[in-house]
Amino acid sequence: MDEIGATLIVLCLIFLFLGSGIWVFVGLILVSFTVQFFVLDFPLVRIGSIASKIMLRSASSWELAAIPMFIWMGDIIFRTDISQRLFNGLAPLVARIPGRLLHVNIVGCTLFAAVSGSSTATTATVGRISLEELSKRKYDPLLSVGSLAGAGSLGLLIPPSIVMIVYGILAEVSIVSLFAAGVLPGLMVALLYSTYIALRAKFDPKIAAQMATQERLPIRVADFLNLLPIVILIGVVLGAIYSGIATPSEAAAIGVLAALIIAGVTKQVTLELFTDSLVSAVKMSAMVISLVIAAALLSTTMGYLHLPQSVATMIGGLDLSPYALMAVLALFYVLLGLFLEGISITVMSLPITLPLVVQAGFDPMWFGVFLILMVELATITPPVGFNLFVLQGLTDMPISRVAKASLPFFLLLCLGVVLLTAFPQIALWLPNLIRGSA
Amino acid sequence: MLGQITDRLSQSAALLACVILVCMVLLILLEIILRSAFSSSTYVLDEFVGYGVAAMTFLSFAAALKDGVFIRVELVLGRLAPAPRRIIEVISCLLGGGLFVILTYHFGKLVFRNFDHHVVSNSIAAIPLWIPQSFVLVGLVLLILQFISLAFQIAMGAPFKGHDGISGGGGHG
Repeated sequence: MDEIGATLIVLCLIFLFLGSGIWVFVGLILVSFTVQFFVLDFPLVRIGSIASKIMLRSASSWELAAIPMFIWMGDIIFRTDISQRLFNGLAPLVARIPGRLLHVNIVGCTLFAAVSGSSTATTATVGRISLEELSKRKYDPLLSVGSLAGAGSLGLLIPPSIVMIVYGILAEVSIVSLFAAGVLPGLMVALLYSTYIALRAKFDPKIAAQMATQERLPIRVADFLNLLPIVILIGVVLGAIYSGIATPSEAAAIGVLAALIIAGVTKQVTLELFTDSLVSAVKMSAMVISLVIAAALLSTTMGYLHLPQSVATMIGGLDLSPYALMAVLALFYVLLGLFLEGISITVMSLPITLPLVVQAGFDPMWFGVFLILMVELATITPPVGFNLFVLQGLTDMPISRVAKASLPFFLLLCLGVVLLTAFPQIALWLPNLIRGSA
Repeated sequence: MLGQITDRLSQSAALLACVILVCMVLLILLEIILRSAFSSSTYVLDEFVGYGVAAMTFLSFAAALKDGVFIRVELVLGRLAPAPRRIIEVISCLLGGGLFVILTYHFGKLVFRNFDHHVVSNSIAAIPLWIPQSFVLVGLVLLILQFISLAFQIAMGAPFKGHDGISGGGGHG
């Protein structure tokens, strides 16, 4: 079988199955089975016994345990009064910058991203309060919604991050280093967003006029106390990892305990909160891990076809420069991102793209950050973009208008990708520093 | 009737998964305390947490399927007229069910072999492997039942369910 034929068959099958609307993990397993049966001529007994072993092995992993625990931790905090606290704590602070309360979206998402591994949770948490408060004060709706869509996606880049854990497991990159690698790019993107908002507020006469009518809130210490729970939680989780006391899975367990204590001290722990967050966390992590299992199977199947090597040889023959390769991959990921969400994109593409990228001389850790930025783009591109869905739900705006509002932030995120590619040190400096000192 | 029993079983399995998650958190916290305060260890942490993750995951599958948590691409599906959509959704369920029948059959053989031959884990705890694996097996069987029940419900005209992955503190991208 020639490699182009095999690649095309796998691609067509993926499009056919996923396009039919079957659950993504079922679709990917079906692709594996179909290829093994029809292309590789494996007997059904062999396919089933290989698959059942891979399924068990890929699900029984110590590293994976971080996923349900981080999801649970985020879910506990999500169910407390965190949204209101973030707004009350940040509003007086950011009211002094041009663009004022719009920065609550950016800073709020950046902070919440540091206790949550998901972009949708980040968007929903911050948006629950801030959108209403912003519209009460007559802020430009497009800018409020767009900034939230963009900043909410930081949930993926700023540790802890579920997609990063998945990437780390599949690419065999240290999750601790990956987490560190996401911090500066995350802050950089937040800074790009805030700068854009400030510039718009200064130079767009319409928005400047809206801003002029805003009252200035006094700064009071009591306001800052609102931020205490989230700051403590960030400190506990990241402190546990980077002081070397705990692995990511252990830090996640400590984080769950800390989140419960914080909810307890602020008198918000009820049996309902406990069980609801728990049930939602196990189902959500089952979904994530189902994709990890399907990915393991797909990757094995592609290995039998020698697909990764063939594609690598094929692309190698094109003699692309490393930057041209990354540009092609970026385009490929943006296209995938139109229709799929992040973890699906990651698990499907990685068996092929990772060897390519490594062959071109890029650091797999750096590529993790690059990939996660691409996945962030996917959350705000229509027709399928989960942050857009969340905002559609929160604002009753049609999806097209939410997408329009997000467009400037999509472009800023693209600028972030360009900067990251031109200056890989933005991602690599912090993990190297930590590794050097450890 | 079948649907009700399946839903009840799925729900119970998800609750068992919750208990397992709580146990994993407690075991990890215990390990941290033992290690930092007593320079000791449970010696089984990695192994037990590995079993825990697999058991928790598979036991939650049926409930996750029922509640529409699994990601799917609804771009085409959402634009179809109800009749063809119903047919495609039923086929999806049957394909999913069929797929997991194959997987479950082979996985079941593995578990029974481990039971017959008293295969234990290659660790200090020497756990008989069929014990953690039977949680996975139960989860797989429930998932098949849920696929069948879902196929029936949709075929009988139940309303379509989109996934609600966007609500709550979700973990996906």
